[in-house]
Amino acid sequence: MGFGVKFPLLPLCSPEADTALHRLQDTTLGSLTMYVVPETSSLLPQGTNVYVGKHRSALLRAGGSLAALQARLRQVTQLMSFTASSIAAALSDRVPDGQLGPDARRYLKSSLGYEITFSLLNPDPKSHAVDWDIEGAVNRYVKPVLDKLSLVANFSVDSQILYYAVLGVTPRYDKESSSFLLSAHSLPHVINPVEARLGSSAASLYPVLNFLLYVPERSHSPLYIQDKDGAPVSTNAFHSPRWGGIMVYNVEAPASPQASLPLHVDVDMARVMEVFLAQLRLLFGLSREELPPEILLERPGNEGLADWELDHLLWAHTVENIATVSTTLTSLAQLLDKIGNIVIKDDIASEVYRAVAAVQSAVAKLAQGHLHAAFQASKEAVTSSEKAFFDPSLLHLLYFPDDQKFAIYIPLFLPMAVPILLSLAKIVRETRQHKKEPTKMD
Amino acid sequence: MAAPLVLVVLAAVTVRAALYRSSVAAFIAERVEVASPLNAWKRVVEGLALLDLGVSPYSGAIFHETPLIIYLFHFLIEYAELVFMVSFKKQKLLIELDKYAPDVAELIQTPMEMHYIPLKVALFYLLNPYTVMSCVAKSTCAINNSVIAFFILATIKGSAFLSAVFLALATYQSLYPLTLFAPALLYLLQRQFIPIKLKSKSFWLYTMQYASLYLCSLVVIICLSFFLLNSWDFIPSVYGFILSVPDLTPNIGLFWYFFAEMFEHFSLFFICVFQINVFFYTIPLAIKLKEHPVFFMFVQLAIISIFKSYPTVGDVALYMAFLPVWSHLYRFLRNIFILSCVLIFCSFLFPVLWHLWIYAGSANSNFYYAITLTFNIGQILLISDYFYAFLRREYYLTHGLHLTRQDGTEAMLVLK
Amino acid sequence: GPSLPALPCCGCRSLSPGAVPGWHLLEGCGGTRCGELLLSPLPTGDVAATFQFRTRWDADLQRGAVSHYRLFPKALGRLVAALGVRELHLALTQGFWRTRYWGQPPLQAPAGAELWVWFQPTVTDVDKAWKELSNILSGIFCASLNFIDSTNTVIPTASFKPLGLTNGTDHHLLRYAVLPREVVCTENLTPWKKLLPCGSKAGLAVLLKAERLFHSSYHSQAVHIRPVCRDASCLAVSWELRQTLTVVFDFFSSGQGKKDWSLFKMFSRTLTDTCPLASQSKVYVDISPKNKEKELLEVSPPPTSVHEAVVQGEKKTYAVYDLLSPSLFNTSRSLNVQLKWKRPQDMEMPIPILHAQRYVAGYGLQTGEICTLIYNTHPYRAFPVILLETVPWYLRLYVHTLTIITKGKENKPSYIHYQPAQDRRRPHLLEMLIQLPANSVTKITIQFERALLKWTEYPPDPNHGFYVGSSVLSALVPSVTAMKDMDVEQSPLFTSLFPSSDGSSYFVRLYTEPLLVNLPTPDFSMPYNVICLTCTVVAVCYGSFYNLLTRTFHVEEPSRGGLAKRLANVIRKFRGVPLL
Repeated sequence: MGFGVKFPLLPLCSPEADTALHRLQDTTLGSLTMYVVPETSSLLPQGTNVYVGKHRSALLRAGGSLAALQARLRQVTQLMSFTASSIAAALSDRVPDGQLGPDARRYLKSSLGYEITFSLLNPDPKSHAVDWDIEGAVNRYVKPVLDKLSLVANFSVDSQILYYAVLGVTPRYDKESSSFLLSAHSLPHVINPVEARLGSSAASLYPVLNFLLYVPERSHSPLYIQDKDGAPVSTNAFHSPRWGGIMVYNVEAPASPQASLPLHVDVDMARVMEVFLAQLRLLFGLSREELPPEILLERPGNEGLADWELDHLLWAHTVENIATVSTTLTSLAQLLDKIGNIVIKDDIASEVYRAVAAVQSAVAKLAQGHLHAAFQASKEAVTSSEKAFFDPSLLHLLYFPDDQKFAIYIPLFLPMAVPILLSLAKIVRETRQHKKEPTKMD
Repeated sequence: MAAPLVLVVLAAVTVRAALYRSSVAAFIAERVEVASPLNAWKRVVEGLALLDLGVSPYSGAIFHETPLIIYLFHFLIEYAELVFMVSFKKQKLLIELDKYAPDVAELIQTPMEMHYIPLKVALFYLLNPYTVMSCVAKSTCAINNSVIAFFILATIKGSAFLSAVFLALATYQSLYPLTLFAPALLYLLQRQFIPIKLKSKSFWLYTMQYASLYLCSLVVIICLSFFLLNSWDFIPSVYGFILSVPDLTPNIGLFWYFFAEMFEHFSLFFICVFQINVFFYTIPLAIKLKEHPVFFMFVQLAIISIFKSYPTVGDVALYMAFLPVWSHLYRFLRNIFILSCVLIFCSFLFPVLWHLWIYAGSANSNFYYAITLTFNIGQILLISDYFYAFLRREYYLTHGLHLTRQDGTEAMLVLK
Repeated sequence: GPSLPALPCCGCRSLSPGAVPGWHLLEGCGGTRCGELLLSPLPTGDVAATFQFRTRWDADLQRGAVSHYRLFPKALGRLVAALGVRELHLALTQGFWRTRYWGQPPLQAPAGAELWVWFQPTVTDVDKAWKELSNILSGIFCASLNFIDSTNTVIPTASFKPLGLTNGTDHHLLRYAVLPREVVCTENLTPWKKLLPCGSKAGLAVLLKAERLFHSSYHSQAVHIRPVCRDASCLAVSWELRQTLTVVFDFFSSGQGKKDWSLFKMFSRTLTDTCPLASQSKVYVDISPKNKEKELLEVSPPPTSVHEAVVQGEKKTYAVYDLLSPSLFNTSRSLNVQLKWKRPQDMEMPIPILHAQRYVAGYGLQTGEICTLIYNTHPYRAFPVILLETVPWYLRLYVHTLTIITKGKENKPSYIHYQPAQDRRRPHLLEMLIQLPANSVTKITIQFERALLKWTEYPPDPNHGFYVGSSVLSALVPSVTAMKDMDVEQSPLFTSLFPSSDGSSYFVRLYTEPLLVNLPTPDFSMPYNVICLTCTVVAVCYGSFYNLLTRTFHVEEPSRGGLAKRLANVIRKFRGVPLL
């Protein structure tokens, strides 16, 4: 990554500066540009020392000693690329449990693609005729984000409506608020009965991300989710790491009880998608952690994530891919060590060589800071190594250990070898006699 | 001489004609010992039916005859029975004739009876129940046998060209007669008085001549088949079928139960090992028996009939026809009585155990398998007994019949 | 699981460009979603209940990347789009429909699992798509469809025509497979029910209770997906998903000889509501008079309407209960249709015009003969029938032994397509077009030979035998009563699935009995013994030839004696006798 330290002069406000400076910057993946502004500059609002833009740049207020500036620079750089903890989280599957903090988040595993499924759950079609403009919403809100993420993986989006799909937990009635409550500890049980009906993964290789919009049945409305402390969750939604998210969408009770059923409901997609996109960011580990107030982050806007956040994702995924490849190849090597006579076909061997070469190049490119190239190489390495590891020919031969093979060859070859051995013995005996005879003569 | 021969032929024809017309014919045709997947008449008819339906007979797994056969019968279907009769008779005559020559080599010791050997051979072949059965079952094995008989005749008459052509035909039909190349070559060399020395030029010249004759006729025959069918489908369907043994229908051979019970993982390896058996003995035999090509041919035919992938009794009958030729070995045979009993008993037990397994359900496959094993051991011991006797006689021929030890007592001969 | 490549849209039909996915309501049963239940008393006293749920989706699955599913199940929709499926028919059946006694079935299926699929012409590797499809379907329906491979797949040339919109019938795009051994059970029913938008929570589907459905003489559930015209002008394509379930309850013998029944007796449930998503939901009861005397039976509660139609050449009267009509649930909260016979009287059995039976002849484990008898009981009209026979490779058919005898004379088929089997790769396929004279029985026989298989190729219970799938008879049967075109639109259930050429004949597809054939078996406990014994024989040959080839004769020299002699000397020494 490159660090250009420049001193802009024009008095502007920070977002404008960010946009204006974007044109000047190095836009390759993984690069960062830091602008240090004078301590007195009005570019940054009062009380803010760091401003991180939408792209790959940040503004820093000079102040204090050079050492303090250096420390701040380091902090911002790590924030915008990777920290030890983000890498540890990426490797969470391979690090023993004890070494990770208890709240180490399990982010989505790196994969070549993801399938995103939006499901509208309507457990009570008699009372609610729910309609959602999912196509419009996907085009408007989800597509820009996925276009940006397309560097990381392939995404496919689909949606479905499921009727009579109920959550696995009966909510508790709260008299005070005359509403129904789902407490945080019961949330893990919510998903299971729904999962069976989602009908995903029958035909896919990639991990599936489920986003469920749950319109509670009329007898359970309104329904609110409580957090651990018992306070209602403002978004009325929760997410489950590596699986997806659920949002509860309450339908307002009709003004008059005589209103004819079913009640027609049009879902406010902007409100729903806002929550789902935030959950998508969480699933990918793009949470904006608690930051000191002196650091100001620009909102990512319509695209859902800033350029540097994309880089952040790429760093993590590249490292994870490299770790995956090394694990796969190590297990393959262990397998081969265990079974000495296993046959490795040429195409498997070439896949292994390709994986090793790709992973080496990924490491080298990573060291040089060529993030994009490193990521591509790591993806290739994953593909090749998995192809080699899962090749059916490596399983087939496992059945016959050496001793059994021996037992099967022996009935034929032992009796055949006996006459040969006997004649060999005879030859040896005769040659010895021949040698003896001349000495006797002497 | 001619009159008894004609009598034998007449008797043979009568027996066959009678059996053809009787209800026994259908029963015999179904016998697995007589009709193998390779040469069953039912399958030939099926191939013809497929041809009539416009389907390539080789697109299925039923028909494994060579294209020439199918076209031969395609034209002759109406006269099929006649063809069989004719081919049988012809073949018999040939066998008789061919015996004249080999015996000349043996004349030194065996006296006047030489004269009757052709008659005996004819008798042994034409009235051998095995031959009669494969004839009545209309197994195409009979055609293969007559081709081989023609080949032997041509070889013994010294016609290198005809011998090569018939050898090519026989190879084309069933692949294994390829191994008969060696004895035929040795015999022809002997007739030409060419010494069998690896350094001799004339030896190599003649070998090349014969080999190229053989290969040319083989190529011509195969190309002819290609043009008849306009496809190479018959190669995997005939030779692939012979070599890879996919059809495990029980027969008198060693393959079917072995590969039905084989672990899948090893079956390719063992198929190779078993197929090599036919070809494996050719070179050592050629070295050991280079002075006696006719005996070599007999041993090789026996080995083929034991180790081929789909043997039938017709194959056994072919080498058994040679037995009268070696009647002078009789006094040196050790176990001939026991072995003939074994073979005869097995022949009777085959249908009995088959019935018990397949129809009565009171026996299982192991019973039939046990009989095939015994039958094959019997054959193997018979051949090695003949081989032993032959070698022993050779020894006596050179060292005299009455051997004495150093101390003057009568000596024993041992193999060392 | 396999990956799902995006499929390019294909020109299945010259459609108007504005084929936008969306919802349309059609008149008739054309609603987006209909449920129907047909209850018909069978001549033997059994009762057949046939459910049909139709979902129509006015979107072209093949065009562009449609990915937003509403009523159409996503799992199937994705399958159709990803693998280039043009038409899919899957049936899972337990039991056998006895046509001779039960009459023409509304929709018959062979015992076990049957799958036939037409692929789009754009699919380049049909076999690969077929393999992938059967694997995914096996996952969706929890059935062993993954056992479909080249040894049980055939490409029929005439028997199976597309039932939906097509612009070509290149039969290389068709694959057909039957797994006669497949056992159908609850685990197959649950995923089938899950495909219904209302599941089994509301509507007719509440009756589908597994413990009742599988306690019956015949159970068949099917899924049919096909493209259909969206409207009369047929400018745009819609996709139709038809889920049918037929079950035959044996009341006569299990219910004290009474033929009376009710919904509750059959399903131990009654109908209480409809699926709110259904645009039509009806129960039909077949109350056609079986003889001249009318009014033999009585249904209660009184039906909403009575409908008369000619179905499969017979005049039928149906009592119709429209579950969507508000009056139905007004009087009582639930609907329990009951049928009572006024007089206990044996009905005369009308014999269906076309029926068939099949069996294996011969004894022993070497050869055998498959015999098929096809009956045409029409008094004066002859008609042709297409017979499709699929036989596994281990029964080696001899086509030259094929004989077709009608009324004592040979009946030459006017079309014959035969594809011989290849060992371990392909089954036999025999398709014939046979003319059936009026009032005749046609006997078709073909001989086969039983193969001995490798010991690993036998199923765990080898002496149970091997199943041979049902043969398929397809025919346009001339009708005795004239049909009106209108009937097809109005009458219940399946009628719109099969093409009907005109009013004078109707299409029938029949399946014969599956066969159970025993093969000779090797001894499964023997493998290693056989290896040892056979190898010993080979080694005996090798050993004796080796000795004869490598050794020469020598005169025996006086030796110091063998082991026996030495042993004897030791004993002699011990006894103090002079040594040998």
